[in-house]
This record gives sequence, structure tokens and C-alpha cells, in this order.
Amino acid sequence: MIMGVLFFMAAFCYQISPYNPLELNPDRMLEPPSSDHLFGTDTLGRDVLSRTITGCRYSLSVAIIAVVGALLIGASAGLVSGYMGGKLDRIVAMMMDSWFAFPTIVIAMLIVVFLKPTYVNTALAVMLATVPRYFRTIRSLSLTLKTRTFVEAVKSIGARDTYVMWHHILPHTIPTVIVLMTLQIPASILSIASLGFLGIGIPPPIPEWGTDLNVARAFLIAGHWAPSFFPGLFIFLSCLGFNLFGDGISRMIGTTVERV
Amino acid sequence: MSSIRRFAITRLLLTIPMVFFLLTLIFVTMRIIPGDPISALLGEHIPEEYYQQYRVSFGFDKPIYVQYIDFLMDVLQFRLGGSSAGTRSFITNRPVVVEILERWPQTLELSLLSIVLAVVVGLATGIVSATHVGKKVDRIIGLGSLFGYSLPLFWTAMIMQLVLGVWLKILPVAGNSDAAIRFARVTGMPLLDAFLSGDIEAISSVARHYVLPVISMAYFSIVTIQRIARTEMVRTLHEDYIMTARAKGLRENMVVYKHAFRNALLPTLTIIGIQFAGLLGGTIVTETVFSLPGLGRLTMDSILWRDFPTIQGCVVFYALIVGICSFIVDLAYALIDPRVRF
Repeated sequence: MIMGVLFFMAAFCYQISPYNPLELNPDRMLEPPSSDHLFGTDTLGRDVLSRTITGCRYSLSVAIIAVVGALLIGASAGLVSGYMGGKLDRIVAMMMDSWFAFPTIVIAMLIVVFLKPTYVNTALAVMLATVPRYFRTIRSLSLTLKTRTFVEAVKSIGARDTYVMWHHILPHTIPTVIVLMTLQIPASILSIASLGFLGIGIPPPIPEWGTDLNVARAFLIAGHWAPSFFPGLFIFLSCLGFNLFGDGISRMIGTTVERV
Repeated sequence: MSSIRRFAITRLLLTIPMVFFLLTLIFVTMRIIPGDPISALLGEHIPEEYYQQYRVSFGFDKPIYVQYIDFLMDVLQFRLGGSSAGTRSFITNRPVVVEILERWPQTLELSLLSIVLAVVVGLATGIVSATHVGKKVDRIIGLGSLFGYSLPLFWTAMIMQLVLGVWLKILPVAGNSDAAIRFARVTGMPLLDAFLSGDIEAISSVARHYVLPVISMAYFSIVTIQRIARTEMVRTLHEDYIMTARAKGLRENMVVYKHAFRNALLPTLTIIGIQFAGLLGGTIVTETVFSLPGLGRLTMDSILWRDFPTIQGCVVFYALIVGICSFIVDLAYALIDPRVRF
């Protein structure tokens, strides 16, 4: 089931959509789903299906960028901080805890507002907002790992700290990192879509699920449900897919990652 | 001094650096990140003298550390908008603090209702699935929580609006009460005020309007709380003292509730506290979708309008709330678990 959803997702990511998602077609605005346009058309006559499919590419790529970036920053900081320990570690940890407690959307919003809303900035915003999560997990892992015997053994041979961190502790964090990344992707997708929904994410005419939902919202009350329904459905499905996949991996590897 | 008091004071002192750090983070985000807020506000092509005027009124011409000190001083004196630009909103020209405090009760009420719902449902489902591990109930709840975890808040809110509000016409779509209802504003919390006014129609109107927003905000927390409660309960139920209690012949109910639950509650509590702070983020979306006049919507609107004093004020306010929340959670933790009070 997990793999099924995942393959489904991977497949449609790279599909080329039937219509050009940017092409305007003002004659056919706000149509309900029909055989021509499977998901109907949106406010400017664009095919919703195409936009949904292409939107996948954008939403997903931004999410992956944000996750990888945050991971690099947060995990390396966590690794070092946990290993080094001491006062510096405690201070940094406290700072990260505060950062963690603050709602991610607000941080992301703040960053996007002060930079222009663009593709890159949205990725940056979500990235910076989620750094503390990686930091915390990796740091606690680092803390437990450094007390293990093999670390003591290596150090007693005279290994330098950097060597120990890089060659010994880091490999042991990899399974957790993988699970964390997989589980954070849906969270990032949601954050990006939220920003788009609020109107401060990736700007139009780039199809992004959240932004499309925002535009479609105005017409919801009038009863045109298609443009509001499908992008959101796909957000849901992709999140579901990644969550399932992450759960599957975590069960395979045998680690648990805190999910707050 | 009793140990609780000592703990409370220590915790309070620790909260201050935390809030301080958050404020610094906010300041850094606002001032140091490249990008010019003034041109974002006024547009690219403005005459030079206007540009300079705004720069001065914002205090951008002062050195960074002076701006930083000013910022902190402003917060301490509750001039949440920052004094350089005047503490007034660009749009309404009222002091930012007033705007925030006017809208805060609505958000507070919404959040409190959501967290209560989330805790009740989350704990209940968590306990149920923990006591029936592996059985059908557990699996169904687990599936439900996986679904809930993947649902985007705004989408669910919109769909509910569509299905329940437009198609089925059961529940109202937006706002916090019907147009004809009026009641005295005592606390600023609509439901509470409606209660206080004693007007049945008003109460029912507000209550009906609250159903969708509260459910929207709560379900993510329900899912999270349920997971944590389940994990902790399962872990606790395997502990030795549970076996002892059962061996003693205690009824299953007592075992579960009095012993296991209390001990499983602790980590759950921390999560609940974190969820509340997260709810604040949720209010931004929920209030926008349901057109509720709260702090979340103020934040959203001020961002759309590039109303910087208000944006700054709202975010600073959030930082303060997060600090208070974390303090309350720590305090509750200490109250429940005597081991924590060093």
C-alpha cells in the first residue's frame, strides 16, 4: 500500500499534462468536470487537471529544497552541538527550543513578507522555519551516540573530534535522517501550500496547489467546487503518500522519530 | 520557600531569555534579511525624498544596534508597533497595541475551544487505541490519524464550508454570529459574551458559527495528541507496576485510569503545550477562511497590506504568547510530577 501510493506519486510527477497549464481560455471559465477537462477549468479558463499535475512538480520541488536545506543546517548543527556538549550546547539548544516553539507559518510568513514572494524565497522561508526540528532530533541522537563504547574506543586511539563526528557518529544518524526527511516533506508541502493559500507563496501564474486554492476560494460559495477541490486533494494525497512511506521506512529501520 | 515556588521563579527567569531570543530572531528577520521593506511597501519607483522620509521615520537610518535597542525598549513598554514609525497602524492609524488587544480575545477563545476539543478527543482516542492495541479499533483510529495528519487545514476548512455550508446548508459559512444578533461586548470573546448576555438566540448563533472553525483547528492537534497518548499509554501499560496492580486484583478500569494514565500524561502534556502554540499559527488560516475578527486575521491582513507596524506588533505578540505558554506548560509539568522540581 505504501509503495503503491509512492509509485503513483512518482509517476504523475513527471507526466506532461494534457493542456498547457498556463494557457488561458476565457471562453470556458469555471466549467465543472467534463470529458474534455477532467477536473474542470478555473477562473481564467485554465485546465485544472494540468495545473494540478504541474503544480505537483513545483510544490514538491520547493518542499524537497526546503527539507534538504534545513536538514543540512539543522542536522550539522545538532551533530556538532550534541557531540561537543557543555555550556555552548545548552545555550544553542535553548535557542533552538524557542525557535521550535514558535509557529512555523509565522516565521515563514515573516521571511516571505520582507523578501519578495518568489520560488526561491518561499523555499528559503520554509527551510529556515523548520531548521530546529532537525537540530533537536540529530542533537539528541548525537548525545546518546557519543556515550557509546565504540566512540570511546576510537577516541582512546587518539582520533580527533572531527574525525569521530564525521566517520563514526554521522553514519549512525543516517537512518534517522532519512526517516525524518521523508516525514518532513509532507509538513513542508503543507507549509508551502499554506503560504500559497494565504497569497504570499509562489506567485501566479506558476501553478502551485496552495495558490490555486486561494484563487478558487472566492468562487467556492457560488458553487464552483472543482478548482477548489482538486489541488487540495492532491496536497492530501501526496502528504499521505509520503507519510505512509516514512512510516514504512521507519518501521523497516526500526527507529522512531518524534512527530509533533 | 516551597519547591514549587522556587521552580516557578526559576522557570520564569529561564523564559525571559527564551522570549528575548525570539524577539532577536524577529528583529533579525525584519531588519537584516536583504530586501528593502520600504520599496516593498511603496513600490519601486518613488521620489527620493519620500524614500528618505520613510527611512527616517522607520529609524532605518540609525545604526543597527541602535535600532535593536529601540526595538527592545519598545517591546518592554508595550509599544508593539515600534516607536519610530509611530506605534500606529498604517491602515487604521490606531495604536497597534489597541488593535491587537481588541482582537486577541476572539483568537484566544477559538484556540481554547480547539485545544479543549483536541485534548478530550485526542486523549480519549489515544487511550482507546492503547487499550486495544492491534485490534480493529486501533487500526481504524490509526488510519484516521494518518489521514488527519496529511490533510491541509485550509482545504478541509474550505471543503467543510462547501459541503456543510453551501450544499447541505446545515452550518453557517463565515463570521461568528448572524448579522441580526447583537450582544454587549464584555470580554471580547464572542461565545462568552453571548453567554453573559443571556440571549439564547445569540448563544446558539455563535455556537453554530463556531462548529466549523473549531473542528478545523482542532483536528490536527487531535491526531498528534492521539498518537502521543497512545504511544505513552502503551509504553506505560507495559511497566512493572501495572503488572503489580493487576496482580493485586485491581479492576482493569482502575488500573488503566488511575495508574497508567497519570504517568502517561506527562509527555503528553508537553506536546499539548506545543500544540497550543502551533494553534496560533493555525488561527491565521482559520480566521481568514471563516472571516473571524481575530488576531490571526489581523496578522494576515497586515501582511497583505504591508502594514509593517502591525506585522511587527503581531509577531512580537506571538513571541510573548509562546513564552507564556511554555512557562505554563513547565509549571503544570512540575505540579504533576514532583520529581521535576529540583
